[in-house]
Amino acid sequence: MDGDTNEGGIDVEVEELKIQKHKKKIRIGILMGVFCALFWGIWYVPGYAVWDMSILSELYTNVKADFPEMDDATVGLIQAVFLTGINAIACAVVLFIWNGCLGKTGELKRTVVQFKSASKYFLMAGICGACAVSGTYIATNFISSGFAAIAGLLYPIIGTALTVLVLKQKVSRRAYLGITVILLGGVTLYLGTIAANGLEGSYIGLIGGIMAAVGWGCEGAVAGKALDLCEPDVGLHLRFIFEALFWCIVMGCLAVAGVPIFSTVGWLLDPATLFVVVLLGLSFGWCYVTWYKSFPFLGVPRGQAIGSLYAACAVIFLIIFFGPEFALGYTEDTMVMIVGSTIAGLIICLIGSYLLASEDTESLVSLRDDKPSTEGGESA
Amino acid sequence: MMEHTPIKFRILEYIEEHPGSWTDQIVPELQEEYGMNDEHGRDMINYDVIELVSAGLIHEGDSRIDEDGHYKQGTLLTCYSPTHLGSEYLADLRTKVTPKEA
Repeated sequence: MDGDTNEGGIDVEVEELKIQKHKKKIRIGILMGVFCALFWGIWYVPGYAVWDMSILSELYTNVKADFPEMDDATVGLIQAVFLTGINAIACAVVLFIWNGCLGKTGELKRTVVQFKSASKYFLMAGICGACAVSGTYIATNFISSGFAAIAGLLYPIIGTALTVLVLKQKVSRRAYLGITVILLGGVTLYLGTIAANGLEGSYIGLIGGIMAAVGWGCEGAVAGKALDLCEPDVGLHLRFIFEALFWCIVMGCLAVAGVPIFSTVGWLLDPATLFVVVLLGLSFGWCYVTWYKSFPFLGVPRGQAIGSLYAACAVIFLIIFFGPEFALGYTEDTMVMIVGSTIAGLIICLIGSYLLASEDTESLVSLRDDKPSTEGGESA
Repeated sequence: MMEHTPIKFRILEYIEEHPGSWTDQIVPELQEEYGMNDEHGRDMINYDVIELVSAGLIHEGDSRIDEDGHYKQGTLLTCYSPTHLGSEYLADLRTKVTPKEA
């Protein structure tokens, strides 16, 4: 090697390249987390729009026609099951195209057959994700979108606890501080809305909120374990295939019980409905692609915390597409409190993101203590 | 026994069998084995190796610049060895994995 060497005999150019490589790795991780938040935020737009479309409103009418004695809460749950199932199937289809384009179908086959060592974790992640996504829809339907967003925001607390205790990933004090600040920012975003409008809704909505936080927290920890040894794109695809299968079984059982759950499937041929479902698949599919890709480089706690910026992105996209009054739910009397808390929340989220993004990259080369197991393995 | 299993399983096994392997040994050999002989395949395998470092399953040792272009001219080559955790993971995998034929 002809490069300059320092006092310790270490090649300066090589050391510089090594530092650049580590920095690039963390930058990719952070970028993935930010894209995750953006796609997740965008997902709320088709996610809200679909509730007003015939595919869901006619499902309500058809179920009510067949079961007039059924209460609105149960019909709402059936709608949430149907919507979550359609969402999972749309994501699985989008990811088939994604992995096909990346040339990863071979890796998909190799991973799916190794059930004990690989695909069983994605089955577990799919079940946890099914619990979380349906919980979000339930919380949105039975309480409010603001409550659903705050409840979902609690998932990094569960994810961080499980990852540190079970997976033994390292989390620095600065990272803990950044994660806490982002979570506080997310809660502040919606605090004004909840303080002004109150939490009117049934206990089913509260259970939905808990399902969202616990489901996504556990999914992150299970996925973190599986991604140690599996490709993120492939693992994620398996997770959605398992979730889609899970919902197909649930919907099949409901159909056998006489619930007309497939009665509005024909609406998928309507271009407007199909467009919204494709948007659901694209936004949620890519949100998960980037979420899973951030875990190997940043660790589950940091990846989840940066992904939590979805709360801020959701507010911004809902304001853009539906207008500030609908997105934030304010009136003339409550405008100052709600808009003030939203702006304060956005600023706190930015401070938290800065704390995480500016962490020393050399401490993140490995997410665990990584002493080599062989003394002779340092150099060839 | 990890031939034709998910690629990270095989990378971990390769590095445990050949501790101190460099990027330009690991990547071309696995490209050949998995039929990923283009530049995209090369970069995907290298990306998987880097993810294994992040997971703490393999350890980065010395580095040098690829001057002969065997891997990718002018880029950084790194020497890898398994970590204690990587060896534990591999031992566990060996009890669970179903070996596959090509």
